[in-house]
Amino acid sequence: MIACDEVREKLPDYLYELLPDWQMEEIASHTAGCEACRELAESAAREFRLLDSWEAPGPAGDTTAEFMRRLRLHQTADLARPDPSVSVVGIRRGGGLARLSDLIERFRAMPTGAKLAVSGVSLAAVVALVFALVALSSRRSGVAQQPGPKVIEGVPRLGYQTGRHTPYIAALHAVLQSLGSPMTYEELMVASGAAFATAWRGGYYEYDSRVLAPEDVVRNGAIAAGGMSIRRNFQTLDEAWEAVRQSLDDGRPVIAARRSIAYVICGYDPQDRTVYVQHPENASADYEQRPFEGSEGVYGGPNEFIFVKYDPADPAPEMDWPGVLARAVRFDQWPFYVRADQFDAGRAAYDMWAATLRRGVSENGAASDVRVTVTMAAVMADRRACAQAVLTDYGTLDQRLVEAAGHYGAEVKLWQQMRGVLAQGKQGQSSEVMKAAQEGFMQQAVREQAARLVEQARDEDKAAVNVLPDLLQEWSPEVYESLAKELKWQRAPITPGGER
Amino acid sequence: MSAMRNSRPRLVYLEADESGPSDEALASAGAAGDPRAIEELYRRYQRPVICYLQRLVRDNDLAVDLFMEAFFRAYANLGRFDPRRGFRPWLYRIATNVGLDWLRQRARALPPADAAAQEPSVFEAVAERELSRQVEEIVAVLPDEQRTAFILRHYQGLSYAEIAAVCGCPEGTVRSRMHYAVRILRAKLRFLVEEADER
Repeated sequence: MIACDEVREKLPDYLYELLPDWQMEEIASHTAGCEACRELAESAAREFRLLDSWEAPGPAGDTTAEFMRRLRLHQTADLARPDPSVSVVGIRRGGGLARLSDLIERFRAMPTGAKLAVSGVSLAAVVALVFALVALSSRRSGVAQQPGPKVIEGVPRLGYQTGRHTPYIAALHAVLQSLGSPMTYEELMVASGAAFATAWRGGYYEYDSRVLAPEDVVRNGAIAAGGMSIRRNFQTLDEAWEAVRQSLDDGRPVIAARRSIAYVICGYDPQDRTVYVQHPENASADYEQRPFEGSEGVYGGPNEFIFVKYDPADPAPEMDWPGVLARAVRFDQWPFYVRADQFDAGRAAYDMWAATLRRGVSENGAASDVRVTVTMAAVMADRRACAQAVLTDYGTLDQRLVEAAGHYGAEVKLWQQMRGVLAQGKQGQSSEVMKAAQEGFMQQAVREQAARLVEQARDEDKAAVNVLPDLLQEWSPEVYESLAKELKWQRAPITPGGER
Repeated sequence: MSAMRNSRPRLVYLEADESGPSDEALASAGAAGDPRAIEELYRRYQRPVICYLQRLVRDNDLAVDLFMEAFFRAYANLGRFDPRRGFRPWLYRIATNVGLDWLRQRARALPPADAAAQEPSVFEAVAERELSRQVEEIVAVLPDEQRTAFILRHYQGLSYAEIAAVCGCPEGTVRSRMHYAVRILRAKLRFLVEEADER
């Protein structure tokens, strides 16, 4: 029997008919018998129907012929191999090459006499221009010097050996430090959301943190530092080279990525078009010089780079610690988005997990139940340890934060106990853990034992779970009051998990 | 169950006719220099993608220009297109980039608005307008990522997997963006529903 909370969370997917048939039936049957859920579903459906009133008219007519005409125009203007940097729309909007295309078209329409006259004038203009350029270059040749390599010094070395290997935050940290940002790696970890693996944006929170896009992490971190980041995807390598070179000339290192590892381009040599790179996988103290071959891109694009802008002359705002803590608390309070590979930690997850375990294996639900549970195990194995480590690092800043780590510590402990149950798998190796857990959880005895461990861990957690709200209340009563009201905090010990 | 199904929103599938050569086959032929393939692809996608861009940038005429721009970029990059990833999400991705780039350029060109002061004015401003315009204003309040995901899902009928390919992010992120978009929209739409009920 599906619970009301679950129905509410699945409502959008239900209305879009994106759920499997059996789940559609389950929700339909629930809403038929539950007045509150039925009213909610009907009101959501009414709201959704309103959205359909916004109609887009589409094109006024068929624009295919016009597009093909423009395309042919480019091809006949010796642009048979299209240059991606050329805008076909620009023909009408007046870009440089677009204007050239217009001129060609007008030229073709002229009578022969006019064509000859225009050709003569144009030839004379071109000859004059060539002479002028030659004269200018000979005047400059006396002072011109071949530019040499340019390398930005002081970029912190980051690597796996330092433990600071979160790919994008490590790179962002290096760039910001070389630009004069006072934020530490640990601060950036928390502020960017990488520590809790969550993102916050204006007015809402992104909680399916394991799949947080690197660009989001970098953006959040840069904003927290008082700067900004811009991801650019260049159509050609030449264009990318010019932009990277310009950034380096301005004293700003550039973040690039290859095989999901971010690295920092700290300098370049225009003579042989090579770049000087800080790569976390290279333990060498020196820069690595390599040909500029573009980047594999943050999202797999061919030439994607992240440019970070930060001006030390414009002081970064003070780190908003109450805000950071508020986010940490929210992380614990997040709604539980019911999709196995989006399982997240926190009390809601405990509830769900424990409920799943208690339900036991049914013939129909066995596969998804097991998947939910083993995914939960993998999440704990890979992420809680990370969060705990970062929070513990903050002990150097404020001892009280170590207490907060206890909350996460309980989860890590739970995982360790789980691992004992499974007797297989290693922390950090999700695939092995998943496989082992999947095999283990198919056995009823293992599931029952795990359910007991969940309860045990919950008991241990009761003491730690209110640490973050307490801390927040102390530091910023205003933020606390607002969050407590919004999230309807209940400071009483956690209600034992179970069927809702 | 049947009653609920009837009350669900209308999903708009505006995509290409399934008959004839596949988009991917046409893209390969186009990359090999067949202009008829390009023409056919353009014809297939002009309406759905222009509708998409009209909702994204909220300018009907500009959306036509932006689609031509996007399609030209797609044409120029056909050599790099990987047919295994599907033409539709690839083209939508390019169109999304073109649309969002334009919005960003415009945002840079315009003086920054006071976000805190802007939101209430949305409600004040839309109160007198027709419903469609009101919905448009409400959807426009969403941040870019959420709005893109929402329009692609609700109006264009793309699957979460396709939207993930368009946005260049994991499917889970798309679900999450949709989750928040729907939450924000529902809170704002409730206002309109109540107003409609009162009439």
